[in-house]
Amino acid sequence: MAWTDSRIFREWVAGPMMQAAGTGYGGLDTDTVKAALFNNSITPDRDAAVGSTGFNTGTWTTGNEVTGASEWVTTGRALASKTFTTPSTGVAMFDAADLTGSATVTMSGIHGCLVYDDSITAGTVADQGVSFNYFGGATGVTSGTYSVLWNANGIFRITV
Amino acid sequence: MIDVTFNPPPIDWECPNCPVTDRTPWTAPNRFHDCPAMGGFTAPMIKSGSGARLVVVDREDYVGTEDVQTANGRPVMAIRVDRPDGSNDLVAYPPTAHGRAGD
Repeated sequence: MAWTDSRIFREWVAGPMMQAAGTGYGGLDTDTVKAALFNNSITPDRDAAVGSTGFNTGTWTTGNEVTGASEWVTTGRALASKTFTTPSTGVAMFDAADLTGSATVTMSGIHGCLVYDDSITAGTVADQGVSFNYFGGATGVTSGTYSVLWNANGIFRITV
Repeated sequence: MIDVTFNPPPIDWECPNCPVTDRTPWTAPNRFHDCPAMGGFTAPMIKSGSGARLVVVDREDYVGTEDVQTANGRPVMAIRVDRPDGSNDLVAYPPTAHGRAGD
């Protein structure tokens, strides 16, 4: 089915967001949260079973991950300067510093990224996915830097 | 005799679409700015005199309900910095993932 849109995993909300016991989850603020790049062979599903939402599980396997010789190596890049805000009525937002590239890499066929919690080790699924963000088509780089600049509306938003 | 090490000169940056320029230490791999010619969109700059050009890559898929990033009303998927030697840099602009609780 390939990429179609950007979503938060249902199992993330039902799981660590509400019940963290036994998972190793300490909060997106303190945990290592990463973004890994993926090709268009995957089939993102916000309702996937929890065991299929982690990095290198389900459709999010390393075989479908797009990596470079450096910086964008397998497992992706860690998010820094994470923020948790309430920018408008009924809205809670998660954001982080842009992932600006500094290393020279060559990659192709990048269609989107998986944002996952690298500190979750058990209970639900290791490296449990938080959200997936679809870039909107194929992207790539030739002997240059690859950067991901998050939307001003954040990596994800929840409206209550 | 004292050994002295000289660092390379700073890098001058420019935007091919607006008058904004900047100067950074030689170690800076890239530079971004809110481009007035693109409605304030955060765009990369190019090294002055490099001959590079910016290529705005519009979203290639249906927007639908996606919370995309736009420049002058156009959904931007990426901006590519093309250099004369065939190499390039790529900046991707992912949409925001949304969730809704309640009615």
